[in-house]
Amino acid sequence: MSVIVDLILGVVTSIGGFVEVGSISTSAQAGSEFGFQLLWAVAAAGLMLAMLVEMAGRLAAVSKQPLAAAVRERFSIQFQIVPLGAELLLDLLLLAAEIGGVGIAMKLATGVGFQWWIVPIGIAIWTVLWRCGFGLIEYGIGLLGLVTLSFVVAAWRLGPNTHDLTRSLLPSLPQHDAVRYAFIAVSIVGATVSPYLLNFYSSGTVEEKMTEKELWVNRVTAYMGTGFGTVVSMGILVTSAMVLGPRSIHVESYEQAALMFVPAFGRWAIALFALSLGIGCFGAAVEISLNGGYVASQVLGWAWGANRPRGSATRFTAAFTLLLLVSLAIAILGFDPLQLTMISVALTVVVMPLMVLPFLVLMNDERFVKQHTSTAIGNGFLAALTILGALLAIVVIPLEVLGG
Amino acid sequence: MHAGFRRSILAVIAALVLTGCGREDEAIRQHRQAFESLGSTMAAIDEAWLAGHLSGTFTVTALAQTLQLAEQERAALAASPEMLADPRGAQLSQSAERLSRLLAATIRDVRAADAGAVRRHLADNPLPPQGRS
Amino acid sequence: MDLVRDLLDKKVVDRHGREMGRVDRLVLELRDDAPPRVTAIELGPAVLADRVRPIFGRWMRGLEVALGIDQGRPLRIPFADILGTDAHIKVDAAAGETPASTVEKGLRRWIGRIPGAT
Repeated sequence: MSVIVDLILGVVTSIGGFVEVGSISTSAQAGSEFGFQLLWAVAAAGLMLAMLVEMAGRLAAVSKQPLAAAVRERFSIQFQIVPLGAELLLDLLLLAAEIGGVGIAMKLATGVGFQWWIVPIGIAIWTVLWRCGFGLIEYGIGLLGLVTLSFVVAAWRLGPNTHDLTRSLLPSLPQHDAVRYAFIAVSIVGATVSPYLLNFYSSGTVEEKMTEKELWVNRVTAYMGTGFGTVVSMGILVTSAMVLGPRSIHVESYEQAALMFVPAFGRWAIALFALSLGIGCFGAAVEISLNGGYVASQVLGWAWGANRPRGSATRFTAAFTLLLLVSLAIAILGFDPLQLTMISVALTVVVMPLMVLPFLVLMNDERFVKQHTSTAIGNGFLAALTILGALLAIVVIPLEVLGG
Repeated sequence: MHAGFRRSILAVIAALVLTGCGREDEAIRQHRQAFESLGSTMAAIDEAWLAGHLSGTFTVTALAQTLQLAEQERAALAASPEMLADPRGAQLSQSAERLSRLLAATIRDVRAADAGAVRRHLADNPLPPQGRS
Repeated sequence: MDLVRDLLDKKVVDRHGREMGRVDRLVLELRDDAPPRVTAIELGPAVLADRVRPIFGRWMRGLEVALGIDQGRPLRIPFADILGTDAHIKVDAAAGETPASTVEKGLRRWIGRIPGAT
């Protein structure tokens, strides 16, 4: 009985914690510029993430080690330093973007510029990290994050043509702006499959002491949680497509994006959008910071864990504090959060093969996953997609930057 | 021999001019699309405010952000003299300037809660969207 | 014994099962007529950095000296003190007496002062 309750909670919190600054930014732009046409990219990215998340949980449950620790053991530090360095840099940028996102949400609600909110937000994030155990963080973020279901409600209220929606789940070529189309498709993948998510999820699995017997719980949570979370991202795209698209409004600011809620929610539009953006970004910021602590401690062999007193794992505490401080410094410099977000997600796709391919090797090493190795089809699918995505990104990103 | 050589030179010049024109066409189209998006944003914000869906605070914030984007786009347009020399580019630049002034005036009128003035500004949008591009 | 696979980068625990870190470097004795022999394992961020690039190792060492935490680093555990090598490397030492625990305790003086540390 309690397993079922855990399962439902796990799925629900995955839905609530899914959407953050990357998915909001990319889905809003995709919808406003290309209608429903990029829905397949959101679906494909969601499928990739579900597969990777399930694998991360499986690795942790069987080997009792989180991803970063397993990579060090299997590949040694000389190899790991490259993907690790890349991930930490990406985490810094993405964390700064998420903090900026919360700042923008506060600006939408109060009119006060986002830079003024950076320091208070940083303090709030650190306080949550200081006081809360892993379960409280996950359930808190997940349950509060259910406000992002507003995107699904808005899309549903607008009454989209279901035939058009299902047709858009299949990839199609754009009729205009091919480079921009490819760039947004690639960015959607980068926004959804964030590297920090894999280590974070595997660390959480270790924190919650999941066993081999519960692998089915892991599989259900990963696929259902990510699946329903993807529906929220689709809600953003559809709402944007139906409200902003027909008005030829291209999303270049979050104020414009917020307008997508007006037809569906009237007076509540801005409040709901600000809450969705703010809570989504805050939750992600907490997770990214915490993950910084996890990664540093797991690679260097320090004591770690959010379920133990912070005073008993001081290097772990110092690590996530340092990551948060550096990101706050970047955020305070005042970069436009939307641009910072787009840079982060674009770089993520380029670097993704470095992280996914070693992970795939681990998932086929019996010393780590015993008999629970991955299937050849799964491996092939993920390897192909990450490599293709990276190649496409390398071609398209310079074209977009130079042409735009 | 001479005629052939002249024809080749003309062909190369024509090709260069055409690609140059093509690039400029594309640039003008992108700028126009950007300004139309901002003009449409202004219209959407104004309508929502007039309908009572948006608070005065948010409306001013959103219009100010739109004005900032409009100014950035105008600066980008002004940064290339070839664009301004092109009659389409020059006209776009003038419309963009009117848009910026309209945005500024609307901000002032929203602050003063003058719905009538905002409605008049709505009708004055210099860059209505020309359908989905 | 495959040195790289079975020793390097593996988790090290003390005689009571408490975590001590990971094997950051092996100390080898080179012999003329036989394969190299492991004489000790070493733990410490400086030797770890050294494996990536010697210059990083020097920087890390400099940082340790500057922070005053270079006493007893790197932690060297003789091969004879290794008690077992299946999932983790179990060694005949105590986690509380290592330089790493000194750093932990040192940080605790700062972090421990914030309410809610324990």
